[in-house]
Amino acid sequence: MPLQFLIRFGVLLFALGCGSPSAETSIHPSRLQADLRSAEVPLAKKNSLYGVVNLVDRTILMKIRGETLREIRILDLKVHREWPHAVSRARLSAKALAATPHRTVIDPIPQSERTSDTEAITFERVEDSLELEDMPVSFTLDFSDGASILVLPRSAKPARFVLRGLPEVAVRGVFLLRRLLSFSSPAATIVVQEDDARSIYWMFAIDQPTLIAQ
Amino acid sequence: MISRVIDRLACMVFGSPRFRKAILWGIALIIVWNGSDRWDAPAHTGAGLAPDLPAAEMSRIRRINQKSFLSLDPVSPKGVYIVIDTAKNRLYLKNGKKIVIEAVCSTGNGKILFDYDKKRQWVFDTPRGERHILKKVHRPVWTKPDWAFIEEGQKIPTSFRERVEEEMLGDFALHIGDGYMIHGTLYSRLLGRSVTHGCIRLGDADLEKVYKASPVGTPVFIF
Repeated sequence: MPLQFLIRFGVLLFALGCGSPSAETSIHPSRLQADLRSAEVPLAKKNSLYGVVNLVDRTILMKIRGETLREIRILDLKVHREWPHAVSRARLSAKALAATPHRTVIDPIPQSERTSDTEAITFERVEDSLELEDMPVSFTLDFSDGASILVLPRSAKPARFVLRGLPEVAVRGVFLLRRLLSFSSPAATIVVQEDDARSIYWMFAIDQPTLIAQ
Repeated sequence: MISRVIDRLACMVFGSPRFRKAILWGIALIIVWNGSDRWDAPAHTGAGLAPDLPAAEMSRIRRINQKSFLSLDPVSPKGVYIVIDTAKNRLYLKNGKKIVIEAVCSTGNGKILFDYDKKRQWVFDTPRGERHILKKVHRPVWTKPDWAFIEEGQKIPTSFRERVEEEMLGDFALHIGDGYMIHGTLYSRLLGRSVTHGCIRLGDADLEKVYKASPVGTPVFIF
């Protein structure tokens, strides 16, 4: 019984540790920037997009050919488990803990509805388009090396209803459970503007290479 | 009543009644800890506040930076290039770091179309990544592809003439490969929305400016 108790107490202590913020990284900023730039070189030589999540500068960049196409500010940050290296390179393996935005399957316009002016029908059909507003605001970015980043929104408006905040609480809870299950994997939570959270979901494609600086 | 249920569940999951309170307190603590607003200390604000590095380390960093710069410089875009933000439906014509033109555009609607007869599928997304302007056309004519007929519930024509439609693409078209174009639109009130079949639509005035400023070979970065 005492052994069982000790094991369970150990699990509890470990679980508590999962929530603790990490110590700040000890690498010198100049060194980090240099490492980041040199890690970027092979990605910039290709003609595809890559992301840079800089937890030190608190920015998320979408880049191609070394050129920044979009910069998003991280408003708040919590590193739960540190990354093993100051600059890590991984591929985005999943965007999880949020329902995948629905893509409409087009029904051909029936002969009876067809008119000489198709603008009216086109306009009606716009509402089915997949747009930025359809993207989720609370989700995780899971990487091929096991690391995961929970993205949370900071809404400009206060939540009017308690129910509105529930999905975020659920996402945070599941993220915590996942951290408990994969205790050695690096993890962080970032808070960005609501629109930026949607943009991150939109911009980051599966299999996209990403550099994470910490 | 609720506390009893929780108690029972805790007993079932964690076994010993002596331990259950500790576990429940632990879970509560984790939730409070995790949900608290105690976030990490502010980020580094630059090398100025960081401790000085030894001269040898600084020169090593300088060497790495110089090497990276020499590697990045030849691949980074020079002169005029186009950036298309599909999330915000914006097109930017840039020259180096400077934005020359910012225009509202329309990009892919993200819908799916099936051709059940020939077992084909189209996803109407604007392709992302790097492309180049391959061809510029003044007064372009649209050759309707198969999906345009299937979407309208029409039979796919066998003759080329039936595919040709004039004035649909506006006054100018810039081909960026695989049938995708930057072109004009008849539906200017839909600019800023994701409504196209993958092409990038611009308003007449912006299209003319982009057409005139972008020679063949201009890089187009879509994200």
